[in-house]
Amino acid sequence: MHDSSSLSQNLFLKAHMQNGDLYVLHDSWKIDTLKQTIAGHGEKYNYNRRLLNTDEFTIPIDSVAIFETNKKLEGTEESRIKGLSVLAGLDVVFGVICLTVPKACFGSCPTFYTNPKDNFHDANAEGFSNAVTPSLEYTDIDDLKHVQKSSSQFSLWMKNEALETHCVKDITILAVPTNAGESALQGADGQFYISGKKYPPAKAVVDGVEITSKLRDDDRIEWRSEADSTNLSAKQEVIIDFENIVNTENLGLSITFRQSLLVTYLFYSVMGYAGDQVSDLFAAIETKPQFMERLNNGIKKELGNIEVYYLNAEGKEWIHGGSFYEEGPIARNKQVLALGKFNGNTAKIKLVLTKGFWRIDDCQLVELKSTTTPISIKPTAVFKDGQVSVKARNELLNNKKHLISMPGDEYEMVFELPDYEGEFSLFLASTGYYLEWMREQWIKDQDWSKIFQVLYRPKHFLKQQAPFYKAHEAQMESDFWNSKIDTKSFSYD
Amino acid sequence: MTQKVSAMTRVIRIAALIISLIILVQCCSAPKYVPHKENITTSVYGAAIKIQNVEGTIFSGELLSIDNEKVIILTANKGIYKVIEENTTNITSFTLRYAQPVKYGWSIPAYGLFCATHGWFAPITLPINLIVTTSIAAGGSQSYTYDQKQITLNEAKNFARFPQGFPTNASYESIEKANYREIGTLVYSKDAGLNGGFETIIDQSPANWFVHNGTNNTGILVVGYSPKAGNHCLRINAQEASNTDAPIAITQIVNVNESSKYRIGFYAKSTDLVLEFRLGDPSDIEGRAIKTLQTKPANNEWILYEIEFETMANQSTVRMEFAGLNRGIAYLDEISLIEIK
Repeated sequence: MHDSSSLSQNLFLKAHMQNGDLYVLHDSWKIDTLKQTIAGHGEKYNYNRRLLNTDEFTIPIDSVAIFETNKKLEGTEESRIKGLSVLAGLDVVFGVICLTVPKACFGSCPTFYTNPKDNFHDANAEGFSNAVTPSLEYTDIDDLKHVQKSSSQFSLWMKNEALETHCVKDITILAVPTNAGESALQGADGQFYISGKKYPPAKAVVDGVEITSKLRDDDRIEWRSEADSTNLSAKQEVIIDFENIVNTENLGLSITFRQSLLVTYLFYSVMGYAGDQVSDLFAAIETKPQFMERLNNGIKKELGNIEVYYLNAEGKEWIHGGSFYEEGPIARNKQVLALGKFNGNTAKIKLVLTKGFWRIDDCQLVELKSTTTPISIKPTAVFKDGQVSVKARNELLNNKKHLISMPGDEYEMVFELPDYEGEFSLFLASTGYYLEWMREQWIKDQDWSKIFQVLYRPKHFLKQQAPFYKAHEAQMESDFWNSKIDTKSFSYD
Repeated sequence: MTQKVSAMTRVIRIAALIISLIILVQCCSAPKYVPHKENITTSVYGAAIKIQNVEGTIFSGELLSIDNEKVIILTANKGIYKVIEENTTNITSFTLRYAQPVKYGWSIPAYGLFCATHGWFAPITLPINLIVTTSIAAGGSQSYTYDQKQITLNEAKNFARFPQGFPTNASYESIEKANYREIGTLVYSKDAGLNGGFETIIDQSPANWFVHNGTNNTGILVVGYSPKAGNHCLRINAQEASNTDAPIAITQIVNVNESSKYRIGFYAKSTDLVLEFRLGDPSDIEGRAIKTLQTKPANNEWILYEIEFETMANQSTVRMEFAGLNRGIAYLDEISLIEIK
């Protein structure tokens, strides 16, 4: 309808920055796939559109809110700009098969392994799962569930096994010295605790069904209920009895848990409903704090935490002791919630959680001896594909830079543990964010009325989604894990 | 006599009709921040938008941003700029223009007069010509526009100055104050450097100089007669100097060393137009001048002007601007920037 012939003749790329600045690059520009920058000549304007400079510019891709161009992106450019920026990624087609249930595609954030040959079901940690845009970057602490001798070297492998771009700012090992008979636990309150004697559940029941054997040990045998068929935020209660408690002075509830694939399904559903305007969705998350606040207070709040209650001394009233929450369906998290002093040698605990949203491996009452401060250790060497990468290490040590990990990348990080007469329990502090790649299969689901439901009527949305999720729930596990990217053979070029 | 009066009346009526039609289609010209179609790709401003709310009030101005809740517009009224917000739910209709209209208004009188050659057939061909030319002219005036029937407000936000949303660090006051003082075009050449002699010309524009032509598209031209040196100099023809919110000017941002002394030199000649050289810090959000120097029109002979300045610590660029202050013509050549050791 409109004459646009002249538009295609003068190639341009405009980079709209979050602070309102604007770069206008002309004719040609180059994308540095290692540094994740776009370089070209042009002008830079401030938000008043006063000319700030005319020069050759190098722009970090992750600092751009929106790109605007009249050039058809091709080859490497296409996969980089469309895949890396939140703007696009609509026609990124890869050989990863997740067609049967597209919303069960593997999504992981960086996965961390203490043994690189470990099966992905055994990942020791997954980093910053909640940071889906640059502004949501945060430090995620995970128990690696690994004990290491002092004065030794420890290697940790970081993998990108999904169609995501991982921007890793920092990897730090938090080492907690422990003596024989002690364990170190990460508190749900952010503190670290030294724990002593442990008490497995004497009996655990949910909806009249006993699940004691599944919650007794940290043995990778998990308990998980199925989601409700009419409401994905329907709650259920797990009642757990503990007996023969010797020292009731300072007790805590330790659980090993992770989310189910319901979280993955919902996240990808939202991306699918955004369709070819997914960039708008991410731009809103990136530039409008109230948008993310609405998401957190909406659907996330509806799905909720694992709420913990304990029966008071009189055995009549449930006291709220706190809650557990850690995002991600891959790595199992181990945390403790300090509950304080109990009377008598028995305790009754109630967990209230959304049906089908959590998987719990073990649930134990533990004696908390003290709080402690871990020792922070930075990597002394970083290897990529078996070769020393000084660049990768420098990026991890420089808090103004990110190590960019693309699908299929695998890094080994080596840490030197200090001298100590005992052992160290190791925790991982990973800082960064990641960018999810849009999948072609999702585009057909575009429906912004659903996005508005997510924002403004989350309860209604979760009820509406229930039958769709239930139709795939049984199959999702196998589809999810089968669509994982093999870091040894994946190529996107 | 009666027949003569009647014929005269008909001529006057037709003339009035033609003039009315011309006025009707020509009055649809767009604000100056709306680019010509050739410059759509490099325009840094938003489209011109006109919205009507449920109360029937009409607002028009530059579209700054649109989100789920509100539309933000920079309006202008008699030289006073004001940023206004309107709730999206209150908007009943909108029209936006993202390029200057194509003007075919000239075809109405041209083809109207041409009908005079049709003799006895003129009474038949004139109305046909008027209908055709008026519809073409009206169609041209509607080119490069969208309204609520064609796109949604959500799609219209792509035509905003800030498609990513209004930046949180920006203030309405600052945007009102800056308004459109720097509308212009720039052609870049990697090899031209300062191009102070205006010897590198691309598309008839001096390379690397940001040209603010005001509302006169030919106000600034590189010309080849009587340069101070080389083959070219710059002619600044300020015929609309009263338009102080968009002065005719050229600007360049130049890289400099921090904490260093510099001397800027240039030659100017004029009999009437006073040029003001303004030195500024590009990082100043308001674009204020740190130092100024005005030329003195004389007998149209080249005069050397020089000004010295010292950069601050951490200052890596300076802004050089030459602006016309009054009505007239001036020539500029051999601009130099030399670091004084």
